[in-house]
Amino acid sequence: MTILDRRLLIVGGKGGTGKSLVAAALAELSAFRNQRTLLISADSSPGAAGMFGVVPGHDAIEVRRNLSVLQIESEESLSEFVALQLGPLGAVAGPVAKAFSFVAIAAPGVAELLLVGKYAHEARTGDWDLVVVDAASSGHLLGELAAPEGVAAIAPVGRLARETGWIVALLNDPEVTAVVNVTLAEEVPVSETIEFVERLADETPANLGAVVVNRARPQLYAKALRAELDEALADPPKRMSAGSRGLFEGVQIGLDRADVASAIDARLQAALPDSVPILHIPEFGDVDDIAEHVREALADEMSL
Amino acid sequence: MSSRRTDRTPSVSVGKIISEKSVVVVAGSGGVGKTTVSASLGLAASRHISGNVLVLTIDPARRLASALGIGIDGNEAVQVPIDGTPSNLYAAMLDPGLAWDAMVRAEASPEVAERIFANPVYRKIADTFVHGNDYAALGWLEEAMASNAYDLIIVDTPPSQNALDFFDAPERVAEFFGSPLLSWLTGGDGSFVGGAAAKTFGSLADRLLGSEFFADVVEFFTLMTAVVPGMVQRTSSVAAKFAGSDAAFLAVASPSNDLEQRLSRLAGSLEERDLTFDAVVINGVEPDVFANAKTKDVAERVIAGESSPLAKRTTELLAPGAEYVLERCAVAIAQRHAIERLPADAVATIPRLVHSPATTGALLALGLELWGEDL
Repeated sequence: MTILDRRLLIVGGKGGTGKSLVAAALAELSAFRNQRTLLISADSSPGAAGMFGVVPGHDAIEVRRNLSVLQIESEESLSEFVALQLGPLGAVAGPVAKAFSFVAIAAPGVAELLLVGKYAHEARTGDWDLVVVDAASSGHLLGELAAPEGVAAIAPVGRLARETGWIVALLNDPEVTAVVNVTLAEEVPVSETIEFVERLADETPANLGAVVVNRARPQLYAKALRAELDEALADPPKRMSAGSRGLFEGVQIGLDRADVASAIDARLQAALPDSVPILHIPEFGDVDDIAEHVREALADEMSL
Repeated sequence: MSSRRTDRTPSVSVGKIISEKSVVVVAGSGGVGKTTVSASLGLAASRHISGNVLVLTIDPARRLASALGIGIDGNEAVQVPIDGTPSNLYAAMLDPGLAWDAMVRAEASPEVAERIFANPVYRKIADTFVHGNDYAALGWLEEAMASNAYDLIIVDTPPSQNALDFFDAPERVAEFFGSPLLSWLTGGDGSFVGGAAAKTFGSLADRLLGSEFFADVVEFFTLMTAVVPGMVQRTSSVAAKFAGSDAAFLAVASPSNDLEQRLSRLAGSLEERDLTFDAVVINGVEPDVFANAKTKDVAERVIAGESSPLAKRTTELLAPGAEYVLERCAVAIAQRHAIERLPADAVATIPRLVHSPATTGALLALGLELWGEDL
C-alpha cells in the first residue's frame, strides 16, 4: 500500500521546497493508475493546479484523463458554505454571504475550518478516488487541520460546530487521510519538518503519511572505494593542470555535500516513526522537464 | 572554498547603495535566504557605518537567531556582540502579537485596550487576516524609527507570496476595518442595526456560529473602530518612508532558470508603486570551480576513460565523482547565463556553501563579501 491508496493527501512544506511540484506529481501518478483524481491548490498562488496549462478556478477543470484541478480560497469556500446553509433563502445570499465571510475572517478558525471542510467534502463525494491538496506552508496547515476541533470548542452551539464531527473523523482515519511533508536535505528545512511532525501529532487529528526529501544528494561512492578516493584526494599530484585541480575540488565539494545530506537524513529518519516512509527525489542537473523527473523519481521510490 | 564570487563583478556595490540609505527592505519568496542576507549585511554595515545599525527579523531559524544573540523573548532590540565585544549592531525578532498589543495601547484608552485584549476574537486577528505580520512589523518599525536611535535599519520582510505585501499592509488594514459592511454591522454606536437584511444576517450568524460568539465579533469590531484610524496613520507614514528615496529595496532570489522572469515580474509590480529594486542578491550560486571550462573538460575526459593528465587508477577512482562535477558544471553555466541577463544595476551573488553560515564570524565574512569592497 502506498500513499496513493488513500482518499485524501494533504501536501505541505516550507516555501522553496518544491511542495507544489510534488503535489502535482502525486496527482499525475494517481491519474496514471486510472484513479479519478482531483488536485486542489489551497495556497494563495495557483501552485500545483496551475501547472497543467489552465488557469484553475473555483470549479474543477479536467486537464488530463482522470485528472481535474481547482483552486480555492477561504472566502470562496465561505460563500459556498453560506449559500448551502441558506437553501431557499438563496435570493439574499449575495450581500448576506459577503457580510458573513467578512465576520468569519475574524472568527478564530472559521476560515481554516471551511478550507479543510472543502478538502474533506471533495474526498467524500464519491466523485474522486483521490484528492491531492497543495496546501499552505507548515504553520498555516497546522492551523487548518486543528480548526475543526478548535471551532467546536469555541463556538459549540452553532451549526458550523456540528459540522465538524465527520471532518475530524475523516482526517483522523489513517486509511483515508495522509499528510505529506515536503522538505530538503538541509539543516533548517529538516528541523522544521521534525517540529511539524511533532505538532501534527499533538495538535491535529491528521496522520503523517510520508516525508518527501527533495533535492536529495545520494552518496557518490561505495564505502570501500570512498576510503581509497579520500586518500587520493588528500594527496593530489604535485603538478596538476587547472582542469585537474578543478576536478579534484569539484569532487570534494560533491562528497562534502553528500556527507552533510546523509547526516541530516539520518537525523530525519531517527525522528520519524518507522511506519512513515521517506521518499527521496534527487537533485537534478540542468534539465528541461523538471516535473517529469520529479514524477519518475517518486514513482521509483513508491515502487509503482 | 577557494572561490566566493562569480565572474560577474557588480557595476555598483551593494554596500555603497546601502550606506547612503536609512532603511533597507530585504524581500523575496520563502526559503531563498532573506534572513541570512539581512543578518550578514547588518554585520557588514556595523563595520562600515559608525552609527547604530538595526536588523529586524521575523521568525528566524533558531541557529541564525542564536548567531545574532536574540532569544525568544522577542521585540526588544538587543546589542549583538561581535568577537565577544559589544558592537553598534542591534537585532530584534518580531513578535507580531506583542507588536499588535503595543499599537492598540498607543491608540486606545487603557479601559478600551483592556476590553480589546479580553475579547476572544482579538488574539486571532493578527494571524488570521492576511498581512497581519506585515502590519505588525510596520507598527514596530514606526516606534524604532521615531526613537532616532538607528542610522540604518535593515528589515527582513515576513515570508509571503508577494514580496510587496509589506507595503500594502496599512491599506489592507484600513480596508478591512473601514468597510461599509462593517459600519452596517456595528451601527454608529456599536449597536447592531435592525432592518430585514441585518436580521437575516443576525439569525444566520447565530445559527452558524452561536450567538455568544457572534456578540464577541460585533464587540471586537466596534472597539477597533476607535483604534484603527490612528494605527493606519502611523503605519502608512512608515510604509511611505520605505517607498521613498531614503530606503533601498533589496531582492533576494535563488538562481533558478526562470530567475529573469521572476525578477521582471517583481520589477513590474514595483513599478506600479513607483519603486525599483536597488540591488539583487542571488543566493546559492554554484561555485566558480564548476563554471570553469577546464574543469568540465577534464571531467569529460575522465568519464570517457580517455587519457587524462592523471594516473590511471586516479582516473578510474574519480569517474563517479566526475559525473557529479559534469552535472554541476551544466547547472553553474546555466545559472551564470540567467544572472547575466538580469537588468539590475547591482547584482551580488552568494555561492552555494556546504554548510549555510550560522555563526557571527561566518555571517560577517559573507556580509563583507556582499558589501562589495574589502575593509
